[in-house]
Amino acid sequence: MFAAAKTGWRAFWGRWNQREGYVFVLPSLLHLLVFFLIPLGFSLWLSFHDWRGLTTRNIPFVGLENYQFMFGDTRWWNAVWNTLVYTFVSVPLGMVLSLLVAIVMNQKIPGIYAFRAMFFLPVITSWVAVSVVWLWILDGRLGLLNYALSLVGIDGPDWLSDPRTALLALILITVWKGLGFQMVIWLAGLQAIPKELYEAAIVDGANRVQQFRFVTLPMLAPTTFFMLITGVIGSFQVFTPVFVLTKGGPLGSTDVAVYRIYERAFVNFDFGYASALAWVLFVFIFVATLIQLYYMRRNLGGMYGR
Amino acid sequence: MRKNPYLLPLHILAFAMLCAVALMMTAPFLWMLLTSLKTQQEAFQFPPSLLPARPVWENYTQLFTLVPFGRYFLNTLVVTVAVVIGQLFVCSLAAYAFARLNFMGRDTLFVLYLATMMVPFQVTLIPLYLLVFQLGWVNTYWGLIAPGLSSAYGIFLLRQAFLTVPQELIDAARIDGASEFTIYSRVFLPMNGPSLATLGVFAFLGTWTDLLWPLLIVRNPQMRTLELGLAYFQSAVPQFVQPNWPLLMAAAVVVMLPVIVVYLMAQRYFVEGIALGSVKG
Amino acid sequence: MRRPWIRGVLAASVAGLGIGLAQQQVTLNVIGFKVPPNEAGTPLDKAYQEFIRQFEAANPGVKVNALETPPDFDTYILTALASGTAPDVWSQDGSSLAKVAGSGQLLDMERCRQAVPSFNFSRFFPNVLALHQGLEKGKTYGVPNDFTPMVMYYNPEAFKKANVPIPNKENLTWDEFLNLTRRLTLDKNGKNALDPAFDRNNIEQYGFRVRKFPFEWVYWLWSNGGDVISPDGKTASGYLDSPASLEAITFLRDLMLRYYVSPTPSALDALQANVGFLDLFLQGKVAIFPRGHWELVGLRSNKNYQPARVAVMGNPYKTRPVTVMYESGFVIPANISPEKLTATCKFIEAATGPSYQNTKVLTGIAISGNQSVAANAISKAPQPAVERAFFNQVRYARAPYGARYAAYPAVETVLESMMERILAGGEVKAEVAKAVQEINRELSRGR
Repeated sequence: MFAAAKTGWRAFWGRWNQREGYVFVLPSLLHLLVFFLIPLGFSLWLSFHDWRGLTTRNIPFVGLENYQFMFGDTRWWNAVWNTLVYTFVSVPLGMVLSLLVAIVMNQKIPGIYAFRAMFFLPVITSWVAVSVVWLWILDGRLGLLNYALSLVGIDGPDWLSDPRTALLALILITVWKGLGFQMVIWLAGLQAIPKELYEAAIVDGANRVQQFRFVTLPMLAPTTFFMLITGVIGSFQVFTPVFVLTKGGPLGSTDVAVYRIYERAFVNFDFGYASALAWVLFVFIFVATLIQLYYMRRNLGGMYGR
Repeated sequence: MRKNPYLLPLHILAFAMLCAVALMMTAPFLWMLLTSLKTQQEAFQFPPSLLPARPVWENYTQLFTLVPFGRYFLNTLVVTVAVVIGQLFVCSLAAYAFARLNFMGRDTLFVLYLATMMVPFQVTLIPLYLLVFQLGWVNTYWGLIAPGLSSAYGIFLLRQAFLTVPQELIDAARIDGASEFTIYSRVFLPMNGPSLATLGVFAFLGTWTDLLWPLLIVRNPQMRTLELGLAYFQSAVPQFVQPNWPLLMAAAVVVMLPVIVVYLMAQRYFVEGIALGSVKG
Repeated sequence: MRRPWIRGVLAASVAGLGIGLAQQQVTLNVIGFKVPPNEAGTPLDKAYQEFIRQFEAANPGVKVNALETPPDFDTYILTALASGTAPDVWSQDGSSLAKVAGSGQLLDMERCRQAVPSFNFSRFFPNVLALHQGLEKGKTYGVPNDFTPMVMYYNPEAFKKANVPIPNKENLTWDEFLNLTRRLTLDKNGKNALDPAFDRNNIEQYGFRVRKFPFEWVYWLWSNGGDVISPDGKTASGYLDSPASLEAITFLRDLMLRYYVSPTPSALDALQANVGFLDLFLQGKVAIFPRGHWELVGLRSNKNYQPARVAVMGNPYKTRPVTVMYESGFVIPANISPEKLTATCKFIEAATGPSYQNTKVLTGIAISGNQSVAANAISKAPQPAVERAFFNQVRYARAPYGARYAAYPAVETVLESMMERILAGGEVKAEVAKAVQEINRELSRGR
């Protein structure tokens, strides 16, 4: 890192630098320990127990029974499959759309402040209002979307009541609601790119597409990495839209992993099994994240993080 | 861009498209706003009216007279401000270490932090509650604030932002003998305004609108947050009767308004666009 | 300063003889005796406050801290019980009683009867009280607050439109019900579903509404002598797939898919795209639907409401009239402190007596669990005939599965998707067989 020789104080400083790392991390680490690792440990412990009551006394140890039960739980595997489909469609779609929006929002356009605010509105609009309006839009007979489709001669389905389209409709709604959220992160990333880089590119005769390809995209790599990782983690845990809009139906076509966990825990009061399911979901997400880390490291080199 | 006439039609097109998309983004919010100004009768009429026949402000006055609004607002403000400040400080410190300092176990620790985002909240909820209960923090501000003081999401967000700061700046500062804390506070924090503002907005949003955690922690009506107070307001056996949509929406608007204000304020940190066209012109 | 032994004697006398002479101030935390802020000043609010005032006056040394019902009550009570911070009294849904009481969380009310000898359980409807006694022999987990049998609401105007006389008995047989609903189902030309020229693609008025939700159909199985799970709660084999159960499920399916008297799920969605179901019912688009007493509140606050559009009859039956009851009962946590026990029991004694139970007339949500209060309420109700029809069905009401089996919520999930698939055209026998397998798997876990 340094060209300078390691003189006495520099060697000391190097060690202190190490120690400083811990000092900087300490507050968050303490927080992590108390408010996360301890509860998490409890949930791991629970996953080997049959805790279906509400009392914290006399909880029978059942070994791997909860995990064994999971293997034959067709409802759970259906939910896992739906979660995978949801993730693979919604994450790329959301990232690309919100990046496009962010690039537009980063321009000098009259009223840009107002537009930015408007695009953020869905993020803070209550899910209840969102669901009411989208139910109107997606309704099979009277809905706005099918009216628009009928103008070009397409007979649209009953989006949220048809098992073939319900998950797709759910994806569209969540992408729409999250767009403003993701846009803000992309915007922050775009703002951090030094103007000098663009000026240099222009001097080199780069056109807009080339500027995007050789300046914007590489400089956005840390943001892209962040969006991808958090996006995948977040969509593996999708819950609220399912809870508000479809309750997992029709015919289980929008049932997702966390909805299963929620129902097992808070409707069935079956906390041991719910904890086991959560730990399995955790392993899935962890593996997915490690795969992403691996590919990022290989393909983007240092830019994913130094 | 004004100097380039060929760009003009393109801009108009883009502008028109923006307006169309903006309408799509704002429709549910507008529906909320308009419904909150209708009578219950009108909210259920078919075909639905777009604009209220006569705006009814009573939904809001009813809200403000029946709920100890000031107290709930104060509670929410105390909790939210504490969480936002705490998160900005704690997360940025850790993010600096993960982005720019070398220490043993750094990457492993970072993956551990990432892992904390992978467990659904529903699962740690009850153990977390039992813990906070053991600490004696039920019914206290501290119980509402403490679990939110740090977030892996925030650390990750800021770490990625800190990675883009040129190494030369740090090297120069270090050679000048600046301490790591000085570099962190004088170089990194000022240079990452947009990202800090982003985290601030998200932390504010999450805490201000949280319902589940306050529901468990607050027992004393005096300690209720805005969202919780309004939820009680609406909990009059809603499964038995048609919900009072106008009142419900008025409540939602009241909760949202401060978030919009905060967002608009934070926008100032998203400095003016880089405006490629004008550089070229 | 009292000497310790005096205190001991005093405590013994309070606990043993039930003489409420306790000098110490006791505060009871009770949920459900307070209206939400937007109902402040209403007759209900005044009635609640008056009840608490009277109770405190009659019981010096006892203070009642009435708390509103928290939103998301299940999560709230779950965490409160787990941490031992539950309120002293709350009203627990009978349909989830087993999963709350199953782990020894609730007090056996026999202890209340010992602590307060005047507390007479004969005030309750015996079959409603029995809901609290089905979990464990000899144990009474809670006592009834209020309840409703599931009944059939019908709109007399829809009968008039179809030119069908109102049935002159309270419970029809299946055959009579099928005939009735077919005559009540009209196409756009006014032809009913019995007419060979009936146009099933353009139905204007439906006779009935069948849905996938088990709470609306499990009692159809009972009315044919069928069941979902065995009395010991260990298996569904021989119960859900018994001929009687299969026949009931097929009957419900046929109402929708063979006789067209009920809208299909998607037809119902389309009908409800812009209006609530109650609007449809009050406009006569659906003539009959199954529901409990609580729906009267929604019906009466609907803009289409007229008393002449709402009437009630009992459930149809094949072998015997039967229905399910949805109930809410007062419960006390098992870890109640001894010095609070007597006061808490006295509070429940008062809350199941006339002064509090009369508020049921004000809310209209349910029927009082106190027999004489419920009988007296008939003449005070806005529609005495409707109230009487409810009252007459009480004797047929059985406890829901959730009051007896802690594992029932998981079973209910299976039943719901089974019915969803059957109503979407799935083969009855095959779907039931699949459901039986899945339910047996659930029931085989642990315990």
